[in-house]
Amino acid sequence: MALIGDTGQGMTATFGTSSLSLAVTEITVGAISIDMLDVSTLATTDFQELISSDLKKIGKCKLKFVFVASATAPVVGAAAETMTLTYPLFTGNVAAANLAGTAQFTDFKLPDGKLGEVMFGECEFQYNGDTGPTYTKATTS
Amino acid sequence: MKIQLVPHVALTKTPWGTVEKSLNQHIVLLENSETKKMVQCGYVGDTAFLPLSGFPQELCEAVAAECSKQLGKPVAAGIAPPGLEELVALVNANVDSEDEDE
Repeated sequence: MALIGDTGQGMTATFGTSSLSLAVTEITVGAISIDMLDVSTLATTDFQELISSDLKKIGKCKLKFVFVASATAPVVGAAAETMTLTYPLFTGNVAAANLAGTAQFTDFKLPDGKLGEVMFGECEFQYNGDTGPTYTKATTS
Repeated sequence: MKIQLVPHVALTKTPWGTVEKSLNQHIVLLENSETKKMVQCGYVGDTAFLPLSGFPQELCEAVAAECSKQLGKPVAAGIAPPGLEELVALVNANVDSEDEDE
């Protein structure tokens, strides 16, 4: 059987209007989740009985990047824009898998300075639920 | 250079079915010059072409020009996110500059 799996090399974060270009080294994607509501009754035994709540939520996404002093930095609190995390293109893919929606930056951490260590910045953004976020699988030819 | 623009949409489930919500950008497919197959190279947003990681900076201007032609509006050539080689060079440059500082 052919081996499957791939690494994160080539994964991309793009920003619709702020046109940032960050030298990203690591992307942490927030988990999509939904709360479960307890509907157990006095007749319930063994395990709680749970139904799902109405709305899903997604955690913040975090980018770690090589700090380049001349590069435009993310602006916390700026207007929401389309932010897209695109997974690497696999062989045979026409369009890559992606997670996209309207979002805005909520955190920006400038690098600390230390001898002998590369300076990395970090930022986080939150999908706001206005449009998406939606995960779309890759399309193949 | 042959490119194809595909609307980038978010599929949203509603009680009335799945609705396509626009993300105000297009997925940009570019023909591979060797295989002649269309492969995604980035997105085109409100004002700029947003290339995928590792996409050659040398091609960004031409893709942006073609996007501009198809969309009928100005499209700037975004800066390509660094690929692995550029990233290593950036890291090395940072390390070198720190060495110099020392």
